[in-house]
Amino acid sequence: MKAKYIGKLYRDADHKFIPGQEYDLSAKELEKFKGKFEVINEKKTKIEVTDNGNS
Amino acid sequence: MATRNANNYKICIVKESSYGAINKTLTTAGGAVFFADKLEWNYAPITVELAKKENSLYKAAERTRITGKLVTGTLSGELTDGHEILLQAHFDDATSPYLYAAALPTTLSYNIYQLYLDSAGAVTHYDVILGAIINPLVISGEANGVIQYTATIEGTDYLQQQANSAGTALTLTNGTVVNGTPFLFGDVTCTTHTSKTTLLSFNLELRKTMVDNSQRFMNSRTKANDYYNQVGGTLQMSTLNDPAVDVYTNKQEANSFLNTITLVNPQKTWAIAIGGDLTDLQRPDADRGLFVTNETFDLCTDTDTTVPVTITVTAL
Repeated sequence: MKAKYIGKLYRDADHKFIPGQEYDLSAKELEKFKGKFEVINEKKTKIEVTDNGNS
Repeated sequence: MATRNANNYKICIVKESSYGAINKTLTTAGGAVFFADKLEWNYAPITVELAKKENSLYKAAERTRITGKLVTGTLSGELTDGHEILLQAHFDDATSPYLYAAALPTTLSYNIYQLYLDSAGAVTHYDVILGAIINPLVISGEANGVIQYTATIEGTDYLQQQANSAGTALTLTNGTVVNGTPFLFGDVTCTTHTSKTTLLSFNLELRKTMVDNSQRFMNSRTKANDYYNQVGGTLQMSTLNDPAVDVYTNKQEANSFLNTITLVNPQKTWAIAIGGDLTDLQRPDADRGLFVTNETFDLCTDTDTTVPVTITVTAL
């Protein structure tokens, strides 16, 4: 899940987060750093459906 | 015997594939960086003296044993924007902004080569320090000077006088010495914790506290790892005394301060943000010209920075 880091500069053994930058994180990681990220809602691609049901 | 010119060498630093392994591919594409700086190193093994005695007034022969291999040295010179690999090596960090991790990351180790050159500049022989770490790293500067660095090296093993041919040949497709531009003290910008923007001198020592040798060697005569259990260092700074802000009362009492020192050259800036507790504050010496404030900070987290030190490299 894409999320923007809104916390202060942070680094541990596995992560380095720079304020304002976007990162791809798992739900587990987002939970671990709760309140430090803003999830970016990705726009869903519009799928047109034709009469015969095929897209 | 060929006579060598002591100045006729260059330095190469390249990352190892595994701890203590030799990497003979010294190419720019492979991440190798070449310097025309000063490298001094020595084999400094850990030794013990056996308790055995000669049963006479003589000292017992063959009474010392090498119990651990260790190589120590220093690399020093003028700091340029081409020396970024030293920040990577010391902070165990791959990219800017460079900062210590709050929990132990993978410690990065390097091969440090001393490449001996012939009159045409070709590498004929080389010495190499294996499993080298950079700790501590000192950056300093003073008025009218060039910013200097001293990197202390600790390695696990070494090879000496290797010929650059046959089985010990190096891959040297690009051995150009880094063309970095030195940082001049006159171009430094700063903001001290008292909002001063002028600086007389500074000395920043970045230090990782390594675990005891017993934990680095374990049941081996070769150092197996370079774990550390604390990071920090000290910042010493001299500024012209300003009686309006340099108030001495209780300043050393549990206060963390933020100082920023930015090294500037036409190519890059290295912005160094340093959080620290004030541990020593010298009163100005009234006998020496203008009053000077000398402060020493013990690097630690600051409420603003949340990390003890950050070095942000920005291309101009």
